[in-house]
Amino acid sequence: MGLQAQGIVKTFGTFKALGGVDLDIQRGEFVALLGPSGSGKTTLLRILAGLDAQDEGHVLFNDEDMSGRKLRDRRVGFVFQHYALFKHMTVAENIGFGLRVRPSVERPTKADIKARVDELLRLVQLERLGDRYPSQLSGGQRQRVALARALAIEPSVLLLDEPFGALDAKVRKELRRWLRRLHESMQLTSIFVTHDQEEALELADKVVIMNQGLIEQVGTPEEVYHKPQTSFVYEFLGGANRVPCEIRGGVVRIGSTIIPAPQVVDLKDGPGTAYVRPEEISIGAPSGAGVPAIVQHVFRASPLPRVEVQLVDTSLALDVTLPPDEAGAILAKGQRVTVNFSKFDVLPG
Amino acid sequence: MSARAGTWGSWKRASVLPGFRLTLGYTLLYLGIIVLLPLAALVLRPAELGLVGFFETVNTPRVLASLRVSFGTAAIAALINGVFGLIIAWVLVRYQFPGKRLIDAFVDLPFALPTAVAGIALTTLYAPNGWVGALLTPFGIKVAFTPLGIVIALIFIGLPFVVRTVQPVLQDFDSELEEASASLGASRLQVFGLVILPSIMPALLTGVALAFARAVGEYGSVIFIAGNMPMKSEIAPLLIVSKLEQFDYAGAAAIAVVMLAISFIMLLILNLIQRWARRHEDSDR
Repeated sequence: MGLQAQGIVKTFGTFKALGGVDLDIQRGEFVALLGPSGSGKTTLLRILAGLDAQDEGHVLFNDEDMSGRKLRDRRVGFVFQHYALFKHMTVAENIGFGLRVRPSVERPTKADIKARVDELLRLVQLERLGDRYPSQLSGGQRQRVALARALAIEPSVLLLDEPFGALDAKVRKELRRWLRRLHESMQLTSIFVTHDQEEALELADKVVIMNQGLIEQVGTPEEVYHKPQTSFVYEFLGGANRVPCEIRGGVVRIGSTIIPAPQVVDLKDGPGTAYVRPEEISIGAPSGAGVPAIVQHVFRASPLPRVEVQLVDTSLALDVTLPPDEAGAILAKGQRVTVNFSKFDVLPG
Repeated sequence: MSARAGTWGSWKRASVLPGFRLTLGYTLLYLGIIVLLPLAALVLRPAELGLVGFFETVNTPRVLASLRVSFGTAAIAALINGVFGLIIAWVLVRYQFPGKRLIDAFVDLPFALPTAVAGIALTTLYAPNGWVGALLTPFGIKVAFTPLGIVIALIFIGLPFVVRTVQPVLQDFDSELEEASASLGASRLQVFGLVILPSIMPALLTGVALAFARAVGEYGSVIFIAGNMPMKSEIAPLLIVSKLEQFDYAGAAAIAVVMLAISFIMLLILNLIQRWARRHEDSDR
């Protein structure tokens, strides 16, 4: 099902949670709403679901305006961050809830409900736990029950609020892969909220990056990672270093060093900011070309050695990751080096 | 936890706070002196009557009628309080309105008022020439001096129990559960009946049980409004007092023992229902 948000505005008291958001989601897409806390991503998800009402704007399902429609008429599958399982019901009763509460004309027979619940229990790999109560399950199992319960009503769209937020790292990885397969095999349209960029980039077809109630950028994981459009996205994704610089006549100058720009800089003269990711910096001998710097720290307890260097001219600290075979081992604190940027982007200001 | 083990050590669980023996010892001593000792004296007293004498005292139409009145009115009042107490707790938790704190404070008044004062006030109000009573008389409804009057007095004194036990549980109720059930297609009535009510049921049952227990033992407010007509509106506690006034201590104690036994059984049943209502909690231990 296609889903659109048009000019969504939402304020809580004096706090503007969403300041006019437009979003277009195609049928079958797997979309991540990514942003720091307070960026409005959960508010947007709740408005799409109909759990909250927007102050302005429209939500369209298949070009049909959903504003003012009751929650139960929207048929959205919503998975809450803390699962929101009914703890006085067994796992099977939880999953069958959405079918049992249907008006008697639409309600499946008891046998049909049971068959559907068994099918969903198999789908979420909890076949033998149907008689348990939620308090007897682990976090990952509860999350899968919540998912099965949302899928039972055959939702037109599946909305997940920080679906892996409360799980430990190992379970999170497994569940992530499993959800991706589920999304593909069931041909769902799914939207999930996360503050974890790795999760968003790995799982989604389309990443929506939000900041302070506005959408910063929408694109595939490759687009948002490799072609960030705003300074916020540069810093939020991949932890890019911010390097203040001067632009004069198409030439970028950091401190007193002119650095060769890998791409055409067609910016007006004036101050700018260069964004460069840790892995796009290389370290060379102090006599070589590049920006002079001093090694501050070397961290070797990670897959790639990380080095913190300070630029001599501006006393700005940069994070650098080195390929493992490069001279990470011989670097010592206080050593003079030069740094070169294999790739960077410059934005004005 | 293994209950079979014979030593103290395996009974108790490891805990950061010591003091299991001390507190258990204190609990047993305290309950022994404050609760069990008077009850034991009460149970022993009718023994002077012998088994036959005991039954002859209790098995009279007047005593049986008074027990019926006492337990019947207490049960009706507790059930009514269960319904309306829940509504009051709901309103106080769910909505914001001017004067909410004042209304919240009103709920406790039946606790604070001397019961005799409540009884006299209710009687004046509901007597055939009272404010409310005069309105009801044309319809042939008599409240004061009938079992209906007793029920009203018992509703009055039992209300705070239900409100105060349900209120905190309702306050803690996770609104995500409501949202989840609504998003799954449940109507408002279904959300309340299938999700909210089962969650607050243990607390509601506790409140009803407390209101019931209080109502069975109530004396002060009832005797004014009841009219105390034997076989009709005479409560068992009044019969006990009148026996005491005739220095028939054993007879008074006999009725009291029967009341005690019935109350105990009813509270036990309520407790079992309550345990069933929370069967899903900690059931893996």
